[in-house]
Amino acid sequence: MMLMYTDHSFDASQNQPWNYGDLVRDLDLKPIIETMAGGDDFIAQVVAKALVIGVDDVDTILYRQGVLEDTLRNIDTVRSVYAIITQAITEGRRRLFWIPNPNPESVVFDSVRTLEVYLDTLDKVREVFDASASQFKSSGFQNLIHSLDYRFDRNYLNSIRLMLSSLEFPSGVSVAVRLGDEAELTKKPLLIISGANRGGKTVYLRSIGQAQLMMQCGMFVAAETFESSISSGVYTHFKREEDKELGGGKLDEELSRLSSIIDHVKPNSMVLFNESFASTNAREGSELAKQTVTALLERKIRVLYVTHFYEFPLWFYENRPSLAVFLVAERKEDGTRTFKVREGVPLETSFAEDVYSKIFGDHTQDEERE
Amino acid sequence: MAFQSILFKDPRNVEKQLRTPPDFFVDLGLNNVAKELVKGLDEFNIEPLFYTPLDQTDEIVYRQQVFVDIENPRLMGAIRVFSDRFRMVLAYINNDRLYELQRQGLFLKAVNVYCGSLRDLAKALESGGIRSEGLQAFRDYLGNYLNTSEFNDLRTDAENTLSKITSVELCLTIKGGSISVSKCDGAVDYSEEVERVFERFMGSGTIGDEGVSKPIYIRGHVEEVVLEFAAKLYPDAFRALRDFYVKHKDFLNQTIARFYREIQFYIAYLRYIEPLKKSGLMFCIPRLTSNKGEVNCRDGFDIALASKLVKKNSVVVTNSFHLTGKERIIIVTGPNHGGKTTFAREFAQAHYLAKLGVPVPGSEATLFLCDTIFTHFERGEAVESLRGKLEDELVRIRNILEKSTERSIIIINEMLGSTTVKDATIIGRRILKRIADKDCICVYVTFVDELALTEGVVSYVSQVDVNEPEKRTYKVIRQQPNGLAYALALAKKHRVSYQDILERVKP
Repeated sequence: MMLMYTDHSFDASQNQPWNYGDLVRDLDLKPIIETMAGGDDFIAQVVAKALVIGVDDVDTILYRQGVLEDTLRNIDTVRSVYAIITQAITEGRRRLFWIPNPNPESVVFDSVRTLEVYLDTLDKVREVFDASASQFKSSGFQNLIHSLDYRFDRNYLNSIRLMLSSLEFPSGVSVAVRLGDEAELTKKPLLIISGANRGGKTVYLRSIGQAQLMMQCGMFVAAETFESSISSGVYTHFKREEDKELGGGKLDEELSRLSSIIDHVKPNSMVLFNESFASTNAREGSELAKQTVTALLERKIRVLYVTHFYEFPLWFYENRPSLAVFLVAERKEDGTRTFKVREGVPLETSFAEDVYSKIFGDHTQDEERE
Repeated sequence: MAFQSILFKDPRNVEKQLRTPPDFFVDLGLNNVAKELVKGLDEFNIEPLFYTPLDQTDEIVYRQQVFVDIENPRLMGAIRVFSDRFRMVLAYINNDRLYELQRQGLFLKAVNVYCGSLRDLAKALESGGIRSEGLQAFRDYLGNYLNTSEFNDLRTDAENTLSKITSVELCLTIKGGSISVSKCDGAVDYSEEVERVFERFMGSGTIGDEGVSKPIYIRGHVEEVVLEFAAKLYPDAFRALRDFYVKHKDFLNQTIARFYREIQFYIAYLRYIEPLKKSGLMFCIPRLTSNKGEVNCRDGFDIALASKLVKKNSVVVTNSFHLTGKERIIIVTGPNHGGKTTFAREFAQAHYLAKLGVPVPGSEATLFLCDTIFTHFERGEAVESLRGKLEDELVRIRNILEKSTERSIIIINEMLGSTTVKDATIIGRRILKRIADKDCICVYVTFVDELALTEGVVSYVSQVDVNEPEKRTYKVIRQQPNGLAYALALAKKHRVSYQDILERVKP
């Protein structure tokens, strides 16, 4: 009878994971949560937790995807159920809210009335489902319909609302970055995205993080196709713009955040880095990135890293080519941004000599004089 | 030669002032310094002085000597008082919003303040033990001027006129909307009585006459009418006032007025560095040298940054630098936020400020008299492709190399960041070679440690305390580059080095 798990209900009262704040902020999850909640705080709470907590077994994901498919197929039916339920909840709340004189008698009376409203509602819901029971194929909905006669619980209804609300999810909320053929690329454990500033690197990283989370809670993913392995936890280590003034303390802060991630990651986790260690010089930052990533890969942790460093990607390009995929934020000849990333060499390394010769004339003269 | 300017030994140099700041002003943070220095001094137009470095040692020394003289606080105090009073004189005589009689009255007052201020200043200069060529010449000029018949006429005329005008006594009878003005023939003056009664409310301060910087004068049309009546009652006194005004209309001595304007440069600079000195930082008069091998500065600092920090009561860390023998090129490496760029700015600022003839940060300094300073800083605007960025950087350094001479100072801040360390090393060394061939002094800030190992260069390294990285030490020390020591130590502190991660994350 559960729409979220095969064998139990979603526990809306469970605590948020320790990195909830970082994930919401770094992956820009707020718009997704808000759209799904449609203005209801309770739904928002459930959605946020469901999104961030995710599940790490394929069966549950498939189970949820089935429910989602059913919902799409029977959109009118589910909508009318949703309407009946929300009306009842509103009605019930209104009653409880307007108790003028809270003496025990009237409280009991109103509570009973409220429960009656809910029971009426349950009947109405049952009628609707009875009329179209054969249309629902997913085990989730079948469980629901079969058990409607016996049990009624609050999480149940809210789960439906959650599913319904997600139908209003507009495709434009998360910036749609086409993965296209590149979906293949993520099969390697390390993805390094480099290239021009404001070329869409962060948006790309975010979209992958969002897609991973959404996939792992059985939701839509903002892409034509998306295929990924299931992670045991998604972690983000993004640079923090507002800490500019801290100076030397900033690298300290970055390393301290990294340390909290290290406390939690385990094999099969996924860590997203965005311009990490940019608070120090390129040399040191590259070295820190190299050490961190090498160790994480050795522990079978997937890493996505947006960077403007050269030494760090270059080292993997030259020393660990089988582990890494390199993407470059694209920019057209005229400098306009495409907001797309393509597979590419992390850094053009051959141009420096050319440019020097072009500007200073033949550099061999320098060597001769040396 | 008769005294003309307290700023220029050769007054013809006055004409050579630049209206716009040098190219490197922003890179060195001097734009903020200049902005704050001239705050509230728009009328003096001293900004160009900060844009115009002096090229000749004797011109520089001319100003330095003045600074040494006015280190004497008594003399400085006298000059400040003179400046305040002179400002009031100008305010009195340039007030065109007054009616005629009021204007004449203030004019008289202005001349009195003027005469008093000059005599006091002359006295202070006589007893101030001044050694500077500029102030000595001005002292002599002022002394002579005070002995001219022109000045003595002015002074005695002013005194006489004033005594006539101050003898005027008026009785104002105010009744409803009308005022009648008469001589005070035995009428009862209530003002004394009133003052006596209200004495206890008046506070202890007395209202001075000319010492107050804010002039108090009457300016309304009613007052003007009262004055017109008074003029009818006391025609002699007011005739004397008018005659005085006509006769001495152009009393202002232009050389002294110019001294007043020019001395603001000194006052402004000392005012700017005063809080820095109070916080314990030192300034000194640098010795200018044409020998690059004896450049030396102890306990220097970035004046722009220090000014900001002192306002926030933060500690400013000082740094010393020196070049000996054939040393010309300083390579600054080390972790970020350790003060690398600040150190480079300190070096360049000291040399620029020295050319303005002002005291420079440091307890003692010998600085090279350079012809100009070139700065090569990272550009804010986004040059997008790596190739484009490198091209832009190399074109700029080429232009600098073309324009520079063996007397130039070149400051390079983080060049070649858009290429690999290998390329940055190769190209960086070629550029260093070109700079060395020119025999320029150069400070080159970089994260490419290899450049600091180039033969013939001097290595300075910025320091950050691993245990307290949030504390900005800004200490830059002459030593061999220390590679990645800082970053790795910090990673170990947080247990996130390669080894630490492997140990903490179980397979």
